[in-house]
Order: sequence, then C-alpha cells, then structure tokens
Amino acid sequence: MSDLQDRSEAPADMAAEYALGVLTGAERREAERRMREDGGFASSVLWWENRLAPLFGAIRPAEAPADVWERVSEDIDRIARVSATYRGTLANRAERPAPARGLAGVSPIWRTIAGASSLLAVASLAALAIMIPPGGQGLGTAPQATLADGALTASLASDTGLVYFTVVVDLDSRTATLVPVDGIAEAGRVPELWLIENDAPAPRSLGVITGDRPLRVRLDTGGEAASAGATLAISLEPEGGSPTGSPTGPVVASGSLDRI
Amino acid sequence: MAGSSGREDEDGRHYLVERLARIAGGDKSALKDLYDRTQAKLFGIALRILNDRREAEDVLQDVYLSVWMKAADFDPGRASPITWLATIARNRSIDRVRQIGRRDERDIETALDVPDDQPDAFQVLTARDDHDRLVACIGELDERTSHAIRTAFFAGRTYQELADTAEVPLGTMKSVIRRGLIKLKGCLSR
Repeated sequence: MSDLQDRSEAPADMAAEYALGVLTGAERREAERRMREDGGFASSVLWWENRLAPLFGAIRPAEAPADVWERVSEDIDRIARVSATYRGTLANRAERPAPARGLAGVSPIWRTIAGASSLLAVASLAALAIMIPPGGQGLGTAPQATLADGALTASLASDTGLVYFTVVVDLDSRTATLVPVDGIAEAGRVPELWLIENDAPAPRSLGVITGDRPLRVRLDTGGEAASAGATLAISLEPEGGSPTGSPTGPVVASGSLDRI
Repeated sequence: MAGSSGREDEDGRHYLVERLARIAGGDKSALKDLYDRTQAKLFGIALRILNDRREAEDVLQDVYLSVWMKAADFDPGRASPITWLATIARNRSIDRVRQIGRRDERDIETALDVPDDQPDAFQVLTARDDHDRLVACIGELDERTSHAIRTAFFAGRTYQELADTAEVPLGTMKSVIRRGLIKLKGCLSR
C-alpha cells in the first residue's frame, strides 16, 4: 500500500492516521508495534490524540445498562480469586527457572498482582480458558465444582519457559480472559490461538488474538467441549489468521489447561 | 456531572486523577466511582462507532477491565484523565468494528457542535481554548476535507470506507485526508 501506488502526493503520517482512526486492523497493529518500540512515534500519537480530543465533546452521552458494571465487577473478582488461589497452589510446587525477560512490558497492575515472589505464579498461570458445554456433554460427567467457582487456568509459555499469556476460564459464563504477560510481536504476522483436545483430530482455531492487551473470548459458540488436559497453543500466522484453518506458522507458546 | 465553572472543571479532573491513582493500587470502589462518572460518555463513544448496543456494552466492559489493569500507566502530565479514558474507549471500539464489520451505513452526523442540554465530562474537562483552537483549525480546511476528517474521527472509518461512501478512488481519499492532516498539524502547532 505504497504512496506511489496510491498516487498520493501527501506523505503518510501514520501517527496522525492512527489517532484519526482511518487505518485498517492490520495497519493499527503495525502502528501499535511502532508505539511500543519507538518513543518518538508514541509521542506523536499522543499529541494527535490530545489535539483531537475536543471532538469527543460533540458525542452525546448514553447511559449504559446497569449490568455492564456488574460484569466488570465479576471479571475483577474472578481474576483476583484465581490469582490468589493459584499463588497458594504454586507454593507447593517445584520451582521453574525464571523466564529470561521477566515481566517487562506488562502493565504495572499485573506486576502488582503478580508480586515479586509470585512472578512465577503468573507465569505458570498463563492459561487459556476453556469451556464445558451445557450439561458437560462429551466429558462423561457433569462439570465438577472447581476451587475457584468453576474456573480453569492455563499458562502459555515458550519452549524456554517464557510465559506469554495467563488464561482464566470461567465455566459459568464460558468466557476466557486472556492476560498478556509478555508481548508477542512480529512484523507481518499475528498470533492465533488454538485448542488441541486429547482425542481431537486437529487443532481448532479460537481466533486471532492480540498479544499486548487483555481480552475476553466468548466460548459460547460451536459447542465443542474443552476440558482439563486439553492444550492451548499460539502460532504466528499471516495477517487475518491462518489461511488453511490449521496452524501454518511456528508455535510460539503452548500450555495445558488445568483445574486450579 | 459537575457544572461548568472553572473551579468545578478542576474538581472534576482531580476527582478522576485521584480515582485512577487509587485504582492503580487495587481499590475497586475507586473504579466504581470512575465508572459512575464516565460510563455514559464512554458508552456514547462506543455506540457512535459500533452502532450496536450489545457490541458497545461488550466494549465498555473491556474498557473498564483495561482501566482496572492499566490505571498505573496513566500519566496526568501527558493527558487529561477523561481524554485518556475516551481514547481507550474509542480505540477499543475501532478495533471491534474492524473485526466484525459495519452493521449498517447509517449516515454519520458530523457536526462539531451538537447542541447538548447538559454539560458532559468533555465539555467540563477539556480546556476551552483547546476546543476553540481545534474548531478554528478544522474551519480552515476546505469543506470536503473537514467533512472527511470529522467522519473518520466520529465513526472510526477506514480510508476505504470513506472512499466508498464519498464515491471517490481510495487514492483520492488518502490524498485528501493526508493533506488535511498536514494542514491541521501546522495549524494546531502554531
């Protein structure tokens, strides 16, 4: 998408274009990568965001339904509960080598939650939330109560032990909350999440994810079960995700789904 | 919402900055305060871009969960609290609309000064002269350029979507907006 091709005489100012909101999804990821790596570029984006902000004044406020706060509140409680439970569990486990890069790049609140002594806990917790379908079909038994009121967790780590994601799955709402621990960034490729069941013939895509911000994935479509022992993996795929429906790029992180 | 006197502007800003500091320390009640004060504005922003209540609600939930986790990143020396929050909401909404596609082609309202009978967080918390300067600088652009830029901002549209709506080639729309941004930057930097 070069200027030559566009016959556009004006040079592109990607910081301004990002702030204005005219970029495609892939271009936005590229801009965000530059923001992380280039302080000058990040400052330019901030300059534009601040200058354009008065426009927000023309947007009419609208009351959100009350249950939005309740959902936020439940998310926070669930994360806190699972983190606390997991820290306790970890204390009884053998220690793993510390990831080489630690928690650099993780937002401060996560460092706080992790705490100095529980960095490994978050690393190991990097989990992917998985679902159990209504009635637990395919599992042989109804979902049993778990320590954290129906939560599963997983840590997605590289071969060298670097943890990329902590995942908490809430079985009640069948929602996975993915918390990035370390960024996955590679120009031109995007992380895609896969679920590999013990007896499944092939990995199932759970979609392209972003590696630099927390996100929630609803697991209420399809109806395939996921359960403790299933593996979650992240591969790097072309923009837009794997063109074949199966992983085509390198697997950069994986981990198994555990009950806490 | 607070009133619009200078004193209350400052109080409103302090209120949000203080809440963000407490949120960074893990104070959930401070997040509820912040939510109560800002949810209508942020929901309005999400609704404007997504044009779908269910999607806007999901984005709003994500935004406050992000605020909970990222509050320590907020630097009051670099952005006003409401600008920081509104920008998160807008970016999340744009990312979402890029994922799911547009729900309809409703004509975009592009007025800079939509009459509003109640002062909202922005009118209260954004400096008046910043607002006036932006309006003046956008006013210096030709009509086609200012319309394109305002539509891009309010609806979060891509170059391609803007070009399709205006029925011009993609390269033309890019050229119009890029030149407009250069002019705008010059004007806003004065």
